[in-house]
Amino acid sequence: MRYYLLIIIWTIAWLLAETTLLKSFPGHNLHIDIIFLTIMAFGFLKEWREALIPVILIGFIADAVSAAPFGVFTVTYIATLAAIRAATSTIYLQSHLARFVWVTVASALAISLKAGIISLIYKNHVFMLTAFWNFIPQSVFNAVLGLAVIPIFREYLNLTWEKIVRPSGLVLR
Amino acid sequence: MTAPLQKFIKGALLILGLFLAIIFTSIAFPNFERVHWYRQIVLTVITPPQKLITFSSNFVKNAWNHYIAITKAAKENEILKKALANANQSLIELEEIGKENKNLHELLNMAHSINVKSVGAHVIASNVLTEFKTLTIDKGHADGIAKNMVVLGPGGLVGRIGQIGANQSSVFLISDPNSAVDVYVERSGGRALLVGTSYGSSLRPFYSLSRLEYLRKTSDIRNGDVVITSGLDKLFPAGIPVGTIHNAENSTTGLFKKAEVVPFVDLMEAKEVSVIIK
Repeated sequence: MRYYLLIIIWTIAWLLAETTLLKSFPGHNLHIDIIFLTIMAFGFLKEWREALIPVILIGFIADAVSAAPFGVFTVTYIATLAAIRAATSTIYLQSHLARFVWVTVASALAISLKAGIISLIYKNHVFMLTAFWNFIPQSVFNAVLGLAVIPIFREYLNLTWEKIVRPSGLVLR
Repeated sequence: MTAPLQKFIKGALLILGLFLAIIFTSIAFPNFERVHWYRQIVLTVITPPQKLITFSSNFVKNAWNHYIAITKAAKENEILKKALANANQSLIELEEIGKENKNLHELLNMAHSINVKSVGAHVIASNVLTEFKTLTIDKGHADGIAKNMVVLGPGGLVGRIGQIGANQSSVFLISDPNSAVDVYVERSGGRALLVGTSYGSSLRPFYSLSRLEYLRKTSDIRNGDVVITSGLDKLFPAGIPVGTIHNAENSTTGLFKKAEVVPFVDLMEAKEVSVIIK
């Protein structure tokens, strides 16, 4: 229960930040996508059985808030998780360089997949074109950000109420 | 197969099944005016803190702009005085044109002007997760908002209402790839379709620009021409200012001309809008 509550709080907090304070940061065509990096973190840090349900939960929340047709984010996130789990089963992905490369690749695939689904639903190729022009800088940016976000998320998932309110005397002893 | 694995597979299949059922419900009612109940639950949780964060950050920005950065004000004041003098001159000219226009309308037995009621709303969030260009406003079904109502900003057209929640609605901007507005060029009367997102712009690529399509080859357009709604699409009332033409393309090939349109309203930075209640 604590595990799922932490994931819901993390997702809602970052969605709030991304849609308000960080909406134009660092640029109008480049944005901080912590939610996607959380999916990447699940791919790197957790097994299938531990990652699938949280990823569906995060996708559900993102779909509820987004203007895109319902289900686009969940499908994209499950596909991303599958890609990363498939890669981790054959390649050692714990070094920073490997993570950087694979987050870039997975981001590019996820952006293309999402734009492809939306283009098919609306029969409008502009979504695909816009994503095509944007996906390289966004993917590299995600990878740079991922180097910091993935370790932070790992620590965050280990958070307990006891750790937050632990008296200083207990730590010093 | 071990018992915990079987348990996990059963649980995962149950959740996937539930999720697929929700997706099918969404697909079955694509034009459902209000958001579905499961989206409303999330929106109810997320809207109050969104409002709080947006209003707080706007307050801090305004304080910065009005009090701390006041040193710039004197210089701006000089520029604005000159602009005001020019605007007054234009106003006198426009009044004359207005009188003439009114007379012509009366002669043609046409409606004098659009008599509309509107509701003011605050922008509380932007959609940054996808390629859609949308905003979220703090007015919804409870305030009488309905799908496809026209949204105006300070100086011009912003877009139309998309999905509606109880106390929040999404606004599809005129720069959204799915947007299409029937417009004409004010100076020459050339009619065209304003569609969203000009992805090849040299001015501001992909950002808050629209483009004119299906503009007849014989139409007279110049950079800086004002574009206004024609009302012929039966969605947007006639006469709403939209933006100015930039990068007018006068190529010799093809049947139509193209141009980019810079909206009068800074769409992604709009803070207050008004919704025309039909």
